[in-house]
Amino acid sequence: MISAPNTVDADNASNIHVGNAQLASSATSAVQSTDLQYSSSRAVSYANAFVHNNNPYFYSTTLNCTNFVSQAVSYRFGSTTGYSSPTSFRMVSGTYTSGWFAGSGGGSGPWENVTRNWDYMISGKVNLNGPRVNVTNWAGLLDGGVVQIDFNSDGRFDHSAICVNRASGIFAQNTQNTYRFHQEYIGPKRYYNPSFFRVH
Amino acid sequence: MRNRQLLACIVLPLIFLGLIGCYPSSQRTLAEEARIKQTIEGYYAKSLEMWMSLTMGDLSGYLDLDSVQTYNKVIVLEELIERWKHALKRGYTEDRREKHKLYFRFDSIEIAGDKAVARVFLSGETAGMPTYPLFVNLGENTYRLRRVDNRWRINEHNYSSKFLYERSKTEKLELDIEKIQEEIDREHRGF
Repeated sequence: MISAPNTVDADNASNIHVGNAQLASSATSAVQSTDLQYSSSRAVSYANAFVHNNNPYFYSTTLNCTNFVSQAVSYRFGSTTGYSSPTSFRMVSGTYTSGWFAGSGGGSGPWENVTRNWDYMISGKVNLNGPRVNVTNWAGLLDGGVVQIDFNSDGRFDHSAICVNRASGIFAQNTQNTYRFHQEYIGPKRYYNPSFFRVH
Repeated sequence: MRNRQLLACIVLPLIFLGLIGCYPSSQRTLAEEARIKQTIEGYYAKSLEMWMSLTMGDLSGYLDLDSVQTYNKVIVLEELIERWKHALKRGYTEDRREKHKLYFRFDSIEIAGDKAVARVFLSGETAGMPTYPLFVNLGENTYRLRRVDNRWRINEHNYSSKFLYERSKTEKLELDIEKIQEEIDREHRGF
């Protein structure tokens, strides 16, 4: 019988520190999995470092918002501190539609496209490696959380940004490469807080 | 020798007269360029002042309000002000608005009669967390201006952004303050 990976609880998890990462391993699950959980400060520091200028480790496009957000979220799950090392980011290999990855030459759909990113992040991913998120609202959004906005209120979300100061409602974003106030994002919004990255 | 003197007698006065003739024209162009710069810089200075004080003012000296896009600029600025006023009144957010510096690099100004095109690179502060209001689009901006009543006013504005701040260039926006306040309340109360 294959069961879905357990989320970590205090009774059956062993916690190991590796670099900046805290690993929590499930000891009792039939399918062994490890959930990598981090503080949001890592994503926030990445977003602040590259809000104005793109990290040359990654490609950049004229519509770069979700690429930028994915970089910060991916860095949040990495294990080293450099901004140009593969181990500083955690990605999911696969096809353009199934993976969550990027490099200097481009990225997958869920990495760079607003709608695909949302669909990928909130999808179940049973027995698959990848980031897990909690869908939330503005009241529940945390530092390092992501907002998507439908500027024209036409049901199509147009933009992604990452929260870098929840108390003041400040987001870092690309295209344009700047900070914006939550208060000034006009139109319907949806939010998720990245939670952990599951590795089988 | 005599030929040279003759040539100098004819050519030098012509050059002199030519310079006199050109001078007022180039001066006029410089003066018009200065007025165009004043319009563009003034628009941002006035908008930032209104955004900081959360008080709506008159932008008709800078914007050609016959244009739908610039009309909508006024409506969206008013919406931003109303959103801030309501959120602050209800204590939904800290007030971290600051008047950050804006730098204007005028790359070109082309004037043709009562129309002009100005290409401007807008840059701002980068240290800390400088959060500019939504109407500031850093980077390349192109303004088309129209001279009305002997004053240059912005008629059209193009810039690189994921979305149009003014939301539409063809359809005039309407402001429903009550609806905006309800949306803000819903969002901050977690509905």
